[in-house]
Amino acid sequence: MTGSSAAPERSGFAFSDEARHRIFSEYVSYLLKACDVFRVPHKHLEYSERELAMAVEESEIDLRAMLARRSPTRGISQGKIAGVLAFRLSRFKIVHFREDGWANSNFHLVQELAATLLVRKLFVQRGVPEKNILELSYQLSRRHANQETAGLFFDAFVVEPAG
Amino acid sequence: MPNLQDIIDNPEALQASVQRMMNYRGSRCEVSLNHGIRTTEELDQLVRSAPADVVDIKAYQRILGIDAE
Repeated sequence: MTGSSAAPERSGFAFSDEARHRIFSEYVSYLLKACDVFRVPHKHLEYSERELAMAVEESEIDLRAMLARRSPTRGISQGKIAGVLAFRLSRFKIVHFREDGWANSNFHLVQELAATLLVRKLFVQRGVPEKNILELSYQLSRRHANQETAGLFFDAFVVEPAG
Repeated sequence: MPNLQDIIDNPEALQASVQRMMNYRGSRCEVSLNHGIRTTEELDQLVRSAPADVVDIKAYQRILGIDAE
């Protein structure tokens, strides 16, 4: 495969450059928080910029497919958007640990917790109990959840606008 | 619905069946559950409106049984 240094053209339903910038910067801040939760020293972790960018790009493809499948005229819920992005941010090989970090028994949850906290803030925009956040992180990391089932989880916490 | 044996025995029946399917122009209803965000602009506005957030690190650690320093 060949790559181009120019930013790709995006068409249709997509994150704006400003939204992508916020996703990238906030993702890194939540990665730090996830490390703090599990007491993983920050120096033990690296993240792939390429994989992070590709995860967001892949989530846009998912969102366009979901919009077409569900309701192009009425749109898709904030919870479903959160579920799509959480899923993609969990599946791509973003987080890598240096050997020093392998002894931490929770290191497999760092990437998923960062993803879940990020989408909770950006798209759910209200509190979700910590035990539920951890449960979804575990499901994404070690069990089974896809974009729509993760979306179903977040839908339960989003306040629907009246009307 | 065509009977499968009839279709096997009668090539014209198969052709007619295929033609009926080719002419089918049905459409399904949109899913009208959990809707909301329709455009890039609305998505952008949603991301912009995200409020400040505080993560209670100690609350997560308590659930996980991780001793706080």
